Amino acid sequence: MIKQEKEALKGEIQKEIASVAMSAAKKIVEKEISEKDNKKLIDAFIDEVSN
Amino acid sequence: MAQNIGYAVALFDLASKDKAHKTYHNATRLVLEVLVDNEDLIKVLNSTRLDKESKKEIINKTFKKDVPAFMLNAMCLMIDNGAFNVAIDNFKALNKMFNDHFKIAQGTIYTTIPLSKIQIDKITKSMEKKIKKSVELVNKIDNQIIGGIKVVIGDKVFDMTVSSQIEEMTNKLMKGVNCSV
Repeated sequence: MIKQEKEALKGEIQKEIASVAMSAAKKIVEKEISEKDNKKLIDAFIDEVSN
Repeated sequence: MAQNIGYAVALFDLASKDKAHKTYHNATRLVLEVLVDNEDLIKVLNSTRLDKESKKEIINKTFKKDVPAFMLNAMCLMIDNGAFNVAIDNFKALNKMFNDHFKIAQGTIYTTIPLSKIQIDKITKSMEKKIKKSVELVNKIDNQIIGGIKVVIGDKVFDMTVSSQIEEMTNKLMKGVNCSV
């Protein structure tokens, strides 16, 4: 029982870490994404849907 | 919501009787555009402080030039019934009926930078091939997506946005983490 609780807690903590890490990553990307990268993504999308 | 689209059904019938789908469709889009873009107008037309006659006058002045008389009457009837709050739903439903009638699909392209007309045309053509309908797209700026592009046509979504990629990574990370010891 204690082991199960420990595992569950561990999972929770790891989820929390993942979510904090990704929201930090999101903030960085938001700040750093260049117009060139953005245009590349858009062009890639247009290429992909036209094929 | 769906039970309140009686006005839309009636107007579609009238358009069919008049064989004037195109005229009514264009008018529907115009009304919808005006109503959706002018929250204040909706507020005034829904307000309890203004009497019905003044509201009808506003409707007549706003739409008379471009909208068939039946459609004006329908809006005035909504005012008379104290039910102008159903207007947007009804015109949306009516627009959908005409879109289905003409096999048109309307949709939106979300980006953080405006697209060129050439880009929009390319996407439109590709989407027409995919969904086998004639497609009309408008480009809207949405900074929530961070970057990249998303096309939404009805219930179809084509998503290559940075935000959804980050979300996907987050989900993977959480799942991956759960599988490990």
